[in-house]
Amino acid sequence: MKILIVDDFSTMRRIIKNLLRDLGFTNTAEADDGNSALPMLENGQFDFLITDWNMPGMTGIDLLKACRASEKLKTLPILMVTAEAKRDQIIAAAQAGVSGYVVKPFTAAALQEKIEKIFERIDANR
Amino acid sequence: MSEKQGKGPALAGTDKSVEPDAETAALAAAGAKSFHAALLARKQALMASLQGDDMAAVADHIHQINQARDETLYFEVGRLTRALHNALRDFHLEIGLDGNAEAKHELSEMVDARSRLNYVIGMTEDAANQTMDCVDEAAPMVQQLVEESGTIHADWKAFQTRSGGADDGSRALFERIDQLLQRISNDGKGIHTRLTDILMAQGYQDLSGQVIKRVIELVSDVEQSLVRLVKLASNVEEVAGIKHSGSQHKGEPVEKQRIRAEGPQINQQNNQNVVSGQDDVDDLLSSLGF
Repeated sequence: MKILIVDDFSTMRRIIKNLLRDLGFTNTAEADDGNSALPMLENGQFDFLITDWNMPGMTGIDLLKACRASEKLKTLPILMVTAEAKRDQIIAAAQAGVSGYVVKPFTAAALQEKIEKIFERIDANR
Repeated sequence: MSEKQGKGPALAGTDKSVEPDAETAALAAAGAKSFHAALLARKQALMASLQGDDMAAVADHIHQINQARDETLYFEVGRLTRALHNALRDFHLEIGLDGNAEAKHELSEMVDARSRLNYVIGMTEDAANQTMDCVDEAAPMVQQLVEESGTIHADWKAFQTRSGGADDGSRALFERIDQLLQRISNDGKGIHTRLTDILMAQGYQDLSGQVIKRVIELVSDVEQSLVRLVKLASNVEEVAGIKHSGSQHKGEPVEKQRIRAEGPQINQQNNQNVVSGQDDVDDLLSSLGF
């Protein structure tokens, strides 16, 4: 399981990376915005993407849309972990095809639950 | 203003701000006077044209008066803008000059509002990283302690069973060591949970940083607008010559429709459109068929 973590704050990338390690996922990579993440996703074999929304350069919502528009990445599970908490933003993310949405500040349990749910759904669809 | 002022902030702007008030006040008075003079000068001619039913001349007079008013207005805007610009620049200079050399150096590092805010982001980032370094070091220590005490506990039990015929004193000691090993295991797990909580708490650096970045953006926008206004004001005549029928004022973003990032919500309670937490997000998503 190879996971890409995208956030412009290194603090948050580190937090998520540590949580994933606790959950047993040690194969992670990091990017600080959509522009650097997209080529990594296109060229690497990532199984899961965790992205922030508010980033300079390419935002998370644009990265999400770019992934859904890409032949290779259109089914990639994408979890948004963001401080963006407006209803229309969450609806927009859902319409763009997000797999899960976690608002900051979040708990370790919330992140774990969302990740497990996403993988359950993938297994069910197989 | 938008350029970095790397060094020597104390000397750069002082000479400039000697007498701007008196100077600009005089100029403003002159501006108002010139409009008043233009009005008076046109008054007689306008009346004459009106009485003579010369509508073309009337229109021309009104146009001239309008133009004089516009020029005064632009002049005033320019004056105010320059004053604001100076105030912003002088903001750098208000930093205290006393204190030790190191502090002075640090202060000169953050000469403007933006770099001060960036400084805060940097400080909180360092603090968060330091905290997480400690967590990263402590977590495996605790884990190892738990694992090793678990192994020894099993061996210890076996040893106790083998040496069944111990006296009372030994049995009490066996019991205490047993409890200690049990406690290391339990408390170790508790400590691991607390370490995760400490890790999660460092998320404040991201959230506060996002808010601070917004303020930095705002300051930059205000500065840039001011710089534009200053340039505009320096071309008062040219600008006044242009018919400001509105053509130059469009181009303001109408892209409100587009969904965009806003950063953390500061007044969550007061906004109906903002979710109140993860439960709310989950409800909303499940209502959308998630």
